[in-house]
Amino acid sequence: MWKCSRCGTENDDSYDYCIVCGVEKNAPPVAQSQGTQTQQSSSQPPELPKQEAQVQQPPMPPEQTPQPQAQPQSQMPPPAPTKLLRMAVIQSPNSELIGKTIDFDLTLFSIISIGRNPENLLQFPDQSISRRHALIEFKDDKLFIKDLQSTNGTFIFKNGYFEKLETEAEINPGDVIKFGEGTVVRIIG
Amino acid sequence: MDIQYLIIPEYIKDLVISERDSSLKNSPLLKLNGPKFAILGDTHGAIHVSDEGFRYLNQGYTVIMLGDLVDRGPNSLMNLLYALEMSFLTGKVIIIRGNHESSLTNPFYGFLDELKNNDIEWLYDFILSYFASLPPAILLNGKILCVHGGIPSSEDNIGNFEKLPRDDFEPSNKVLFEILWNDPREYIEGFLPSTRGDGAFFFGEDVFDKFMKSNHLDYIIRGHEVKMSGIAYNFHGRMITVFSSEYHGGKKGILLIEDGKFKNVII
Repeated sequence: MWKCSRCGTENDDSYDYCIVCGVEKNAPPVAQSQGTQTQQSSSQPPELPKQEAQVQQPPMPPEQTPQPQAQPQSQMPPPAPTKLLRMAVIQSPNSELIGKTIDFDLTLFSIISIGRNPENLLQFPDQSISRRHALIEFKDDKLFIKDLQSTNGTFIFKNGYFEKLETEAEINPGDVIKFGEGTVVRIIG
Repeated sequence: MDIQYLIIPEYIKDLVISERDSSLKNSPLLKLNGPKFAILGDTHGAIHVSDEGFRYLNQGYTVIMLGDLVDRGPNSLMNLLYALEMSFLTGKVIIIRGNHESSLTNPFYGFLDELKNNDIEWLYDFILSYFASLPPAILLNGKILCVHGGIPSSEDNIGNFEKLPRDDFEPSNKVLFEILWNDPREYIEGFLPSTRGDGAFFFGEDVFDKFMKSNHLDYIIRGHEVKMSGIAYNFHGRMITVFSSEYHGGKKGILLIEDGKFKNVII
């Protein structure tokens, strides 16, 4: 096994690239600024998103805790609460990804690019996915998905069928999305 | 590595017909009772893994192969013949039908080519009739169901599996097709169209629970999906996938059941 220098995923020795983020096996470490993480759940039951664990506690307002020696940073406005997008991989050509969840901190990444190439924030190892395939955008407290004129399309599961996404659509927790022919994810939080 | 061996077409034909006729005497839902079972998942020509499984015969185990003996890997024919011989000789090797025991897959994934290369393509119809005769489900001690793929969307009473056809080469029967092709998935509810193609589904834990309750089952053991770890557990440990092939480059699993307890053997 080798540990990815970017996202920390444990990869099998037979892979030359990280199965989650696509970084090369012996790539030098980079700053941990991606704000993403994956969790293995093949043998564990899925858990509900524990958003409360991710929410940072804002500092106490100064008027409640008068401190003559208050440090300058206590005057800073409280940080915005973290918003997480959690996706579960339902299907992938790479069997190791199936059943894993991927978290995105939407306060850091309001647009998540999805595709086959490494420059995407979410890279799927699937030949039926275009190099730049789709975007998930967080705006006005809502999530939208946009297909970037991908070759094999982006689909949302509705009424028993995967309906092809023509341009853009709002997505919500519970929605199942197919990218290309072989990758299916579900928004779970 | 290709293994060299002598092919005697008439002998293969007789063996296949004999095993087919023997299989047809049993119900498509084969009920077995016993204390010890060794379960092999898809082998796809991995004759060395089949051999590892057959070693448990000497220790009193009944060996169950969860289908997909052919296609994808070299030595598919020899893997099949080895299993047929062991079944014939011991009566303790039971083979379930997989989605690669089928006219839908053999022309595209190597097995039919292997027959052609050995000039025995004419045997394929006999082999197909044997594949179609294989039971799609085995019930162990009334509590553990073994299938190749998963639960079907349109039949939740395993008692009705006894009516499944035994001459459906594809198969085109919807229930039979889904037993051979469906896959379990965490994080979904109900049945979701599978990326494997039309007619195949992913199924979630909710419908799995319903199926288990209505049939008084404790576990389902299946193959069908690559598991790099050889064996994987889903749905709170009640859905077990065993994968015993070599082509995927991962580990090979054999699941042992002894007095109701499971033991993973990873090769």
